Amino acid sequence: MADNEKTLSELIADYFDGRQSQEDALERISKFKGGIEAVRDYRMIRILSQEIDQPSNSPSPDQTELISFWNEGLPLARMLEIERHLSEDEQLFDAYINLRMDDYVMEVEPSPEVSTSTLDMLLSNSKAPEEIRQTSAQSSVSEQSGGGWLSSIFDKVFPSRTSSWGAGLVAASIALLVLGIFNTTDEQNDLLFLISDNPNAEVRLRFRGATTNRLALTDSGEFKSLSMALEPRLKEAVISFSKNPKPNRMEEILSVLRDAIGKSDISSTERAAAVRSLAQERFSGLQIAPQLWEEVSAGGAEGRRVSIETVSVEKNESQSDKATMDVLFFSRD
Amino acid sequence: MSEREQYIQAEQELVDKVLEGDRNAITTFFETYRRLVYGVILKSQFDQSNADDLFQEFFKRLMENDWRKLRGWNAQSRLSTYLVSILRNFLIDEARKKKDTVALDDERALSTDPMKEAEKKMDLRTLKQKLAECCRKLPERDQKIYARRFVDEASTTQIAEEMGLTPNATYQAIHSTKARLTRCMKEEYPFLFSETEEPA
Repeated sequence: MADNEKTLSELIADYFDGRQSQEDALERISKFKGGIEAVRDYRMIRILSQEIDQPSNSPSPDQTELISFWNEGLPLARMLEIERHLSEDEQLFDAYINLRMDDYVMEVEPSPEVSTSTLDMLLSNSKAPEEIRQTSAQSSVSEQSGGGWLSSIFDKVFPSRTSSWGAGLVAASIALLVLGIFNTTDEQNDLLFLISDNPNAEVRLRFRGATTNRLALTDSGEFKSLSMALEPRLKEAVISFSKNPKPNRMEEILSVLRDAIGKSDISSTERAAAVRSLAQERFSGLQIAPQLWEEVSAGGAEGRRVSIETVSVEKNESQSDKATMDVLFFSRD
Repeated sequence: MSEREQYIQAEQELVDKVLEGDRNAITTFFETYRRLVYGVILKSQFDQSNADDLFQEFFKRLMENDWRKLRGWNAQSRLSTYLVSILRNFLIDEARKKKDTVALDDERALSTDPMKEAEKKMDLRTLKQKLAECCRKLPERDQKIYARRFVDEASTTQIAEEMGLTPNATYQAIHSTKARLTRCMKEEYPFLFSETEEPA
């Protein structure tokens, strides 16, 4: 049977048999609707099937690596090592099923009416005196909580939450904080950006490094920009991120870019450096040009050539604060 | 402190404040978990027609008796895992009470207090046991396929040779085995698997 006639289940079987390069296999699997999800289900069965007689010698993955694992973004050998860790480490497995639940059940929410009445019921029984409260129909939860306990948690876990990206960012941070999706070491900023569907809501760009080359790198070899077709996997990843801007979804976008760089005809050293520079922790979010977003959100733009750049944007609108952060910027090429 | 420990510490602080009756904490708690709770209710194969009622009832039960159920969290697993555990048991309980058509196995039927099962229903060991149960329900040939493919990690070619199957038949057999196992697992843990029903 020709490879291009294979069904999804055949491709998945081949993938786990290691019959073709990981990159090729994933590219073909991801062309099927739900292809990557089917691979994840397959992995779940594998993890639950393993009988561990002796502990793994390989290093246990951290949260970032676990997210890459979730996105099938690690070399196959490492994926197998992590499967073993997940099969023997209860706490790690707990983090993994949190990733799964977050991806599979967080797309829906109760109506504002149901949310409000349920919250009212909970608050009506609280013993503490009345304080400011708000529901999901309103904006940020944390902003009105002042310098109390919540603030202390955020100072600890999100040391740099001073951006002006909006109240929703902080509200979403709460969910992500507790669901444990993104990196929270004190040295790293929180990764979060709410993609805007408002054509007037472009961020103020401080630096634009794009060129018209297919792939452009900085002098130090870091990824600068890339022009490529908006393939289905990339488009889906962007839409997915727009619905729920989480690091694991950013990782999926970056994974597509890394694949594209992997196919470029630059030297292997350059390729390695460029791929390395696309670390998820580096990016605070994604910005998409309004015209392109209009097309994407209307279900179009598939196959359209787009330019993807690393851009530096201001964290804060305050004129005195010129701190910046890196985001990926998508526009029509 | 590891990332996981940081999360659990933050969750612990949040729960402590909720138990103290801090209104901001209760709001934060609700805002943080409402989508998870609602999503699991919708994904469950129990009564989906009254998801809103179940959603409200679950939070009501959670706070009853001075948040007794929330106090049952021991900070060993993530708070979200714990909440989904007790939510799952709550849904089973509700289905049983209403004599729903959902098939309940003996273990479920014996459950009178969802809290008793809370901590053991989402852990690795329990999920492995559930998969083993699912495996025992497979036809004999598929049990062999399962053991070779998923336990021994044999290749498609090896399985084909050992079982005298053509490559295509082996693909089909692996696919149907995996599909049956996934379906069986989803009966109890729908929120842990994707919606995808992988085509043969």
